[in-house]
Amino acid sequence: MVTSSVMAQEAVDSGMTIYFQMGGNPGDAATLARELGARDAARIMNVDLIEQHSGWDPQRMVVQANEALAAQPDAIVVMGHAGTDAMSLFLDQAKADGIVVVVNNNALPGSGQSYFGLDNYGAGRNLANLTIENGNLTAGDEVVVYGAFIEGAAGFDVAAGSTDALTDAGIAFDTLQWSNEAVLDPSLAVPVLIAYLESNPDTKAIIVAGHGGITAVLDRVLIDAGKAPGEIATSGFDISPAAIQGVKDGYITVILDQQPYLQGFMPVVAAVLEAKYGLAGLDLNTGGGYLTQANVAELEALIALGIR
Amino acid sequence: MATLQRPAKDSLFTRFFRIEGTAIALVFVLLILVFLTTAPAAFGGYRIYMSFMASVSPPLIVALGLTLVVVAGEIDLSFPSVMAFSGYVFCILFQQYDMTFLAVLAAIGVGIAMGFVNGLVVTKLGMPSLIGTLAMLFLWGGLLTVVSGGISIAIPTIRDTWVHAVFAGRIGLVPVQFLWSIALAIAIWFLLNRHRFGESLLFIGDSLKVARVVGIATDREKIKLFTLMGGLSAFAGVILTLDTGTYFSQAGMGYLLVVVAAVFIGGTSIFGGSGKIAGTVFGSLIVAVIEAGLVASGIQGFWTRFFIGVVFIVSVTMNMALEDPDKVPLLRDLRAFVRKNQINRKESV
Repeated sequence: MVTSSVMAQEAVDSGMTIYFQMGGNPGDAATLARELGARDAARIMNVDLIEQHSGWDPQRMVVQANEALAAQPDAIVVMGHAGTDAMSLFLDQAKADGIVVVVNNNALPGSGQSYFGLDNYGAGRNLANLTIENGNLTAGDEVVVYGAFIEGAAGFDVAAGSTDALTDAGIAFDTLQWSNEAVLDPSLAVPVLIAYLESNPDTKAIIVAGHGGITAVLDRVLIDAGKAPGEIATSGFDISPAAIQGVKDGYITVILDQQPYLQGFMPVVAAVLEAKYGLAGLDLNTGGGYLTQANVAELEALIALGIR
Repeated sequence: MATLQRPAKDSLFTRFFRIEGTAIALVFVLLILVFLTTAPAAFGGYRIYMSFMASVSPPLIVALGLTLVVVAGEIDLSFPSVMAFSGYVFCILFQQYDMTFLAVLAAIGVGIAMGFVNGLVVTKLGMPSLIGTLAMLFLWGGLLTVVSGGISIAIPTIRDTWVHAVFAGRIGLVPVQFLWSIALAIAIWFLLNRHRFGESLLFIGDSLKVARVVGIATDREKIKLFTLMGGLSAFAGVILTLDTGTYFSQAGMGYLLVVVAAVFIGGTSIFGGSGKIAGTVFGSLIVAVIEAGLVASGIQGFWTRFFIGVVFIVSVTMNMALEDPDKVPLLRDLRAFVRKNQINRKESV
């Protein structure tokens, strides 16, 4: 008994240093909850947390992983957007150096590391299916998927999942690649989507495959395009204070919630447990939640805190 | 020996296109005509233009300020962080203290102060503005993240206020912010071309040594310039925030390349010493229209960015060629070749 309580104390009071890849930019809609979760876990487990932000650039993720490696911390939490092949050298070196590696947000298939995040492809399918269900879409309807269609880019798997689900449902779709500028400043997506709607007046839905900021300006798109709430179904990722108003007003039909707080909290816990007790190979799907007009009131308080 | 001579008097065509902005305006009109042909459903209606007028205003206002900075032979890359900071100040003051017009003034005041510091960094630390303002981009952005805690703020009720109506509302169908940006363009044109401050900037951009010799307090003028740039960036940040009803921590970052492109597409010299405010206005409009126009024309997926590059090159080349064909080396060589052939033919006759 004494021994186990001492060990538990050691795990909680870890004194470890962990480098953590947070994703986008400090505090942005898709990153804040992950930061808060990781910081909470770090506080509880006495971890010196060092945050890295890549602007969702897979190349920067690889560079930052190697920078973290150079600092020889106890553990490194990475994102898998660059793919397992691109990360293999890093993973091999980390293993050789005895550094724990945990993956969050985007998996590194076949790497055997603990993973906390969505099955992004499945999330894309889920997003499309939720849009079909909540937007009352039927076979023959036309929709546009606004997202990333370049392999390796953040959101690629989500977009692929969405388009495959639409194909399976017999729903016609166009794909629009979002620009780097719109990814950084979502207001730049507004005229592009309006232009699309004006040119394609039969469009029944807009699916934003994985960008919280762009999801949050969907209400602007419909208002400026002269559409009434619900006239066109819209959907996207990541709950934010901005997007919630769009849901309340009926302009945004459904938002998939990947619960990024868990993607911050759990990897820190897993890294400590693996370093202290060798507990590895954990896999947790953090997704599954979604926001519509039906449940928006319940989640609003947590959203304001940045936890959801 | 035969010599190449220019015509004694420029043609009406040449003189017309030497009027500031006419060439790039024609390029813009041609672009719209192309999109009217390729995407009549979108460009035949009014909504897309209203959307352009709303979305182009923040980058246009910043581009106007940046034009002055480039005229003086400098650059300011810190404006995205200034935009974001002012947007945050405005949101917080509105959300927590119910301030409206005072919040606008405070946000612009913060931007002016940040611009003043930028000016000090460039003049008093002697850093090249490219590096100095790049450092300030990170410094101001980092400070903002610390101060704000990184959160996004939604202020949907702003749409019911007078301050929204005045700065981002609609007069009929026209977004008010576009009228503000055009008014600012006119004011800045006069500042550059009819005011002592503009004259000083042109001198400084042309030759810093000469500017000092003629008695211009170059450091003071540059500090004023960066301060003005800070104020304009802040105003753009406020308008962006009012228009979207939201403050994003990375607000403004997407405008970095857009604004720089607009200034240079508009014909302002990268070497300083000359600038075209009207060119910047149409350069901003071209940049704003391109992607939406291509998407509406059915060019989707990976081709969009390819064609954006094509349109940029064609626009800049046409702008230069219409103003003076000799500005385009290929055309200059072709014209020289044709003239030489004509002279040779006359001599042989």
